[in-house]
Amino acid sequence: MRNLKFFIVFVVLALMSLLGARQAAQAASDSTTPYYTSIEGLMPQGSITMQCEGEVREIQNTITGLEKTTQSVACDGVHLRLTFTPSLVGHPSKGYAAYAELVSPRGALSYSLWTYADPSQATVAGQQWRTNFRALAQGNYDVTEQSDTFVMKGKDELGLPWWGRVAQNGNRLVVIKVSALPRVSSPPASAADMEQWITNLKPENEATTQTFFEETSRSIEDKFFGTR
Amino acid sequence: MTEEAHTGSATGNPVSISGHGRIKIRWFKLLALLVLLLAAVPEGVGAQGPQPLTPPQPMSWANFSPQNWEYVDGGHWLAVWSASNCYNQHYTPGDWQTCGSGYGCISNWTWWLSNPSKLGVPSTWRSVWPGAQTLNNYIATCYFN
Repeated sequence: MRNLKFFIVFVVLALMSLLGARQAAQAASDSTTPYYTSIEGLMPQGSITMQCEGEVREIQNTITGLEKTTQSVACDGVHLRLTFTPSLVGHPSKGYAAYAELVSPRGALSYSLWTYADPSQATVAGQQWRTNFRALAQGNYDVTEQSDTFVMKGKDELGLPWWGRVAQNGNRLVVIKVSALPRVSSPPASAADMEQWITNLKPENEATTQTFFEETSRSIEDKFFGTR
Repeated sequence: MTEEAHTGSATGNPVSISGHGRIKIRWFKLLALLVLLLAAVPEGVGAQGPQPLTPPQPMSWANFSPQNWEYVDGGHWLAVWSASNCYNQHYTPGDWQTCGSGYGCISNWTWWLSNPSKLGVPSTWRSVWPGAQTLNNYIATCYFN
């Protein structure tokens, strides 16, 4: 009887040790393999004029007496905060967001990577992102849509093109947006010339920016969906 | 103090100090402890009666520039003031420069929130127009507490 008790205690201790070792190995693996691609990993440092990126944190705000939660990345050095509302992203267990402005061809890149407790939450958030992208577009837009991917080309309020992509893999969701901007030129000196100036706004290099969007999307997704 | 005063008595009774009347050492120790405790209490804690009220800070309206940018849901730019109830927004290099934003001139732009005050700034105009990313180029009248 006494031997049996010792045996049971031994087995329980052995199991606990095994579980602990497994969890430690998992934690070490998670900390050494980032699930995200940083902006530096996508383009050389000199090609960016402004950037903000980091893991999102849940922030509690009291707005007009109501407690509201947002997912947020604060970049105090550039006086910029990237925020995401729960009505769009839901309640992810983990997130990473980035924003950068590109020198040449001129453009803006923003992306966010989200991990949810289960795939159904990622699907709901993915649908909300699709709706959000459609709402951002002015006038006509092109969409290529499947159950797990959504690619869109739209135009902004000044007629400049942008591309959006939403991709899901299990409980993970990637959202990417790239805008093509014109080369910096002298602005009009008076209000009378403003309309002409707007009419002449053209992206610096639309084709190159589109290629950048496609390659960047592939690179971010390969890493995010490839690491477990 | 005498030798007798230092050693005390074996029975635990207070010992008299000769030449100083009837002061008991036990009461002297208690008094000393009380003095030390009172000295250690921070000023104000032990003060009696109502504290004088701090005069109310003046609340007033003044012109302020926003403190930082907020990029919301991957598509909207907001200029964020640390003050509240802002209105009468202007672009200091000249309001006319905002009129090519695609959303009208700055006076027509939408305030997203009043406290803290957040003004929607058209995304592409912000990226394209020289000086549009400089927070100090914006000003509004806000309630400052």
